[in-house]
Amino acid sequence: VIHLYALADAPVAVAGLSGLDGAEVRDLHCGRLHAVVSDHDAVPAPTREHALDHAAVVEAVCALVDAVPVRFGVRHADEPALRAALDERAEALVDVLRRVGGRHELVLRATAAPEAKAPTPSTVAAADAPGRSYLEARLAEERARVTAARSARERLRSRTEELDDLAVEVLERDGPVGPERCLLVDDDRLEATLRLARRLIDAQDGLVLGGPWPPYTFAGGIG
Amino acid sequence: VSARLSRRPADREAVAQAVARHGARDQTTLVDLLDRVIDRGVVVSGDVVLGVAGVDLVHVQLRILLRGVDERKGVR
Repeated sequence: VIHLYALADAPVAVAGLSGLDGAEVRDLHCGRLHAVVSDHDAVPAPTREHALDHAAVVEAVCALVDAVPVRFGVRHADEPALRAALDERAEALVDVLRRVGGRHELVLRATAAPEAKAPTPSTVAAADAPGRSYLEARLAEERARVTAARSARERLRSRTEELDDLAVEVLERDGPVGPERCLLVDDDRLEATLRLARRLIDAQDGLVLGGPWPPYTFAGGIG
Repeated sequence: VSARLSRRPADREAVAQAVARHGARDQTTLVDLLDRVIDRGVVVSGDVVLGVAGVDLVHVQLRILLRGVDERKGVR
């Protein structure tokens, strides 16, 4: 099988790069695109180590050329299958490459909140009552959860929006530990953005800065 | 900052160290990177090795790991 790491529109000097399980990484020229791939006898297991190996190759490729990161875990049976998939979506992929290639992703989010406590008996006591009361209690809990999430997003925005002018694009989304703001940043503004971001997290408790990384979040959506 | 500047060959530990050094200055952003690698980026059809269950399992493990790190730091 072929494991796909990244796409570029110029040749990638991959000599010396090792991929998953130490496999040799190669540049496969497919029409307008260059695919960075490695070949495997069996499907690589979905492990944390393999995910980090994938990330390492993507980062190295993005250091060499403007490239689009590919999600970990996408495999193709053979070269013809990969070429067909790339041919079919070449135009959209080139568009993504032009939009995000050579740029970096940063993320700002709050530190993880403590686990919410399970509902106390008093809040679910209505379960013994007619169904309507029980459902109303659950509805109130859900509304409180939605309100808290909205408030967390707004709080994060107000604490970090000073960075927006330095970014090409800002995406607000729910990440693995809560709301996050993802910034797509030009290479020549990266250092200035990092300086300001670090100043913000030093001045405000409970903020986390992640990156710079290849622009995974901004490259998604092509299937 | 990243391999863009260091131009080193791909190295898993180098990426993990760069995350710790230049991210939140601790290991909490490793989960953010892994979330991106597993969940985001271009797909280009093909077969996705990670089934839904596989993705969830990895994420659950990462969330537990992250909570532990953040709680040890003290949630501020």
